[in-house]
Amino acid sequence: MSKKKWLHQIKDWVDERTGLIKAGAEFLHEEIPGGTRFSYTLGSACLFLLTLQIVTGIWQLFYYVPTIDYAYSSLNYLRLQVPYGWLIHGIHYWGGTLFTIVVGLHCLRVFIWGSYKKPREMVWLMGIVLIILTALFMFTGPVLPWDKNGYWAGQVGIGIAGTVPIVGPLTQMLMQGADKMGQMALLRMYVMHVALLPGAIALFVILHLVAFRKYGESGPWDKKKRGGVGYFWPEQIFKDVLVSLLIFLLLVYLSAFHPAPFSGLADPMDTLVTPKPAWNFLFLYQLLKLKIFSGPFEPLGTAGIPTLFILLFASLPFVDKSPERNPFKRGFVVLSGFAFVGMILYLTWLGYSYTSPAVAAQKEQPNRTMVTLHHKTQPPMDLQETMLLANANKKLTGKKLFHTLGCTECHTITGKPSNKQGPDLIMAKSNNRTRAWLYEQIVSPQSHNPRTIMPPFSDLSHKNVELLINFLDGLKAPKTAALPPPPPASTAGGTAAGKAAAIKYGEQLFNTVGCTQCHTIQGRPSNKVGPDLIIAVKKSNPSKDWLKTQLTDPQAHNPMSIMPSFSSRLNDTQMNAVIVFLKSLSTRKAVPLPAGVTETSSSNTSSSSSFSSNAVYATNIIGDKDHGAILFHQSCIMCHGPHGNPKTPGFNAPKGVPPLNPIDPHIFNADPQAFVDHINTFIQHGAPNIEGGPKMPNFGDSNALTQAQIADLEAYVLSLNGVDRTMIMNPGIQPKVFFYTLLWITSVIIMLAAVYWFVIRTLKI
Amino acid sequence: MTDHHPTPRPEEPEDIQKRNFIKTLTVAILGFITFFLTQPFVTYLFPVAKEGTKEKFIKVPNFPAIPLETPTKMTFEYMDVQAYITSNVIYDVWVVKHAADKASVYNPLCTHLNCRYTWVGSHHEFMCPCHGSIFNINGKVVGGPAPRPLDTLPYKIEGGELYVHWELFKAGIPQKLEI
Repeated sequence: MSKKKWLHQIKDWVDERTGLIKAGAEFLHEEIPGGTRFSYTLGSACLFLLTLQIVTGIWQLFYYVPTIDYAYSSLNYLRLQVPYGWLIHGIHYWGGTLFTIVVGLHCLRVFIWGSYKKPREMVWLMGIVLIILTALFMFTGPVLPWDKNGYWAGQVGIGIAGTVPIVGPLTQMLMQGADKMGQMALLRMYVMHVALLPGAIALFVILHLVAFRKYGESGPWDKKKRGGVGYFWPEQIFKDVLVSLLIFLLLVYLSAFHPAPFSGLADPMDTLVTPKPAWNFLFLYQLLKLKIFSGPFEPLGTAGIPTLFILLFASLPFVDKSPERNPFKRGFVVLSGFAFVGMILYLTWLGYSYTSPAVAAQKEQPNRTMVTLHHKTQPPMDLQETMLLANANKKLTGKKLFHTLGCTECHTITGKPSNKQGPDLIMAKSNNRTRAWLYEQIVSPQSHNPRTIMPPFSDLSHKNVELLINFLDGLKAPKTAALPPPPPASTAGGTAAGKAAAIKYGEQLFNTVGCTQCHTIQGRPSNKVGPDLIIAVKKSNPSKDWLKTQLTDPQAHNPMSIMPSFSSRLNDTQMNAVIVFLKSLSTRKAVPLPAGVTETSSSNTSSSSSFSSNAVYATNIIGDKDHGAILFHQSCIMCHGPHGNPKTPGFNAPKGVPPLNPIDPHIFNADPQAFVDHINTFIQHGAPNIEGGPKMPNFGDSNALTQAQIADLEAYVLSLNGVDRTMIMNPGIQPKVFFYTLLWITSVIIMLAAVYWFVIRTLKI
Repeated sequence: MTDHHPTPRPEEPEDIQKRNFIKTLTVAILGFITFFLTQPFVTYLFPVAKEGTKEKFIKVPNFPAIPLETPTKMTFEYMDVQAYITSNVIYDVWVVKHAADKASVYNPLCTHLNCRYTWVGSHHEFMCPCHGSIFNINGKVVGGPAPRPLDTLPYKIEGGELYVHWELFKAGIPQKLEI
């Protein structure tokens, strides 16, 4: 007893000076008409979730940094390297989703019970403010990881805000802080999410609660059921806590078994991603796709609909003024409410299952290169399947086939030399290939050149090959196809001016006769099939005779060469001019790199990544293996075969291509980071050819792939070998073990409590 | 805070027993959730140090080119990895080359209070600008408050190149104590 007295004394002492104890007791004492109910627990479930969000949110700030080069790596470090990072991030990730759902249910409950009616209108209005704040949280939060999902969600959301009339551009500017989505946008989303919104939501939660306590729980609508009185403490709180415990179990379960996806680093260059907002906004996204909101009425959708929704909600207590609370006697209002909820759910579902506009436009597209991030289950198809699909599709045109079968991976149709491996197909028209030759080249390229790296499209139907050839035939021949006239005879001879003129003429011929399809003159290695000729000439200093043979009969030097003979296309004068030009390359300096481009980050600026920071390097990025599978299908399958296995039956692999599935045991490593470090070198810098096969292109150095894409590819190659790039290195306790322990202890506690209650009440011991 | 007068609670012994039981259970569940989260939340703040591939000896470039018996300030770069950030850190050391395979390598911080001393050629001494400690070319204290000679660093010379093992020592005490 003395102990209790001592405790009371402290309580009294504190209360006398602060009044906190009495205020607390008063807060806990609340009568609930008609008794306590589980349906009243939704509000406190929101409060419980909000508390968890605040704590886990703050805890994540110990590791997260809001910069575009480190945000994704810092979050991944937190999730994979920091003990229990998976749990803290998981609770926050799923807590946000659950919070949105519980807030929705809470709102629905209040609506059905008619609890928004007089005198509780203000409580309802503050609730609406809380819903808007929740929406803003759910908008800003997903952007912070700066992964593909978040980047595009932010991009779409800010874009929607930008279309609002008058205030739109200003809002967009305010949210982005710059002319486009980037570091400033990330920082602003961050400040909103961790500073402004938490402050606002704390304030409105307090206002909401204080206003609620003025009149308390409205109780059952049925007068007969309002007889008894229940109490907030401990009876209602007990029910609240039971529900919170269930929510807690659910959160840990979701964190352990369904972790947030690793969607790869945000990559504005990546065109394979379907921009979609976070799931909470899918209904709006879907609604905006309605035809009436296209064109001049777009602002009506982007600004009008959300405003309309808010006004509809806000005006409810003032429109539905009758004191009747029984939902069965408020048929019209309740049914409209349900219709509204049904519509939102339906639109959300439509938005969720909707494939991107890009995909819709290319419905026939067989290789599904455009998959939405939200449809990850779609496995990449191999070339054979792609061709089967193409054959089955009747609406295809040659142009579509060209764009979907992967031809654009190696060929361009711009009429200009490119950095891609294959020739530009408009420039290649100067080769005057026959239809039969083209047919053979498509169906069995190895028959023209056993060393070619072009994959055979032998499974393509006759009709589709014809369609492709029609397409290629229809391409307009280049205007520059006519060979330039030789320099006037007066400048010929031994003079310096004459020599310079001859070299210039040779260069003109070189640029027009088709050499640039396979060779570059830049003094640096390129992606082209043929060597860079400044490098080659300087290295071996070939004689005029050697060059002449190479031009007229390249196979004489190398039986495997794919270089065509130019004897029929150039006369002797022209041939000599080209040779003079090539000889002159021995003194030619390398073409300087464009400003701001370093040697390692390649010469091809056209496809350069928008990231230049060293921090964004493939090995430091956790890639998305599903996205990697798509990229693999586009860039690697022609050599490495379906699923990285060049020995797949029916696949005609080029010589010397190493299998990736399973990969060389010397390269394999069970540690994801070490494994990635091993394969990264090859993807970044390429590799020399083996057994006369094709050489591995330098995808990183040439910027043919962005670092984010290489990271995705690496994750995929790891997954082919059973190594998970997203393996948790320091879990604390393994997620699943942690969940089962939690479940087990919870069950024991509940059972012990039940047994204890049974013993003292029923058995009256 | 409700407006009407509170209804008196039932005070039957069974009601009180039930209420107390519920109170205990409520507090127990809340305590359980808190307890179950405390350990992860605390452990979270102690990340496991990544087993770095810290090379013990780091190359200091340009060693063959420096003159004999002349203190030379040399710098070398080292990749420092911390969590998700990899940065290039530049270190400096004072090197006195005695022969192609023999040298003295000094930590560049004064043993008194970690100021950066410098070689003053005209006096043929290392001098610290902060409190006037003076060391001779062998690192011995010849003046000022420095409690111990300059801190030498372990090194090795392979193929004519110098490799140094970087260490820091506690300042202001007579013992050379690594930190």
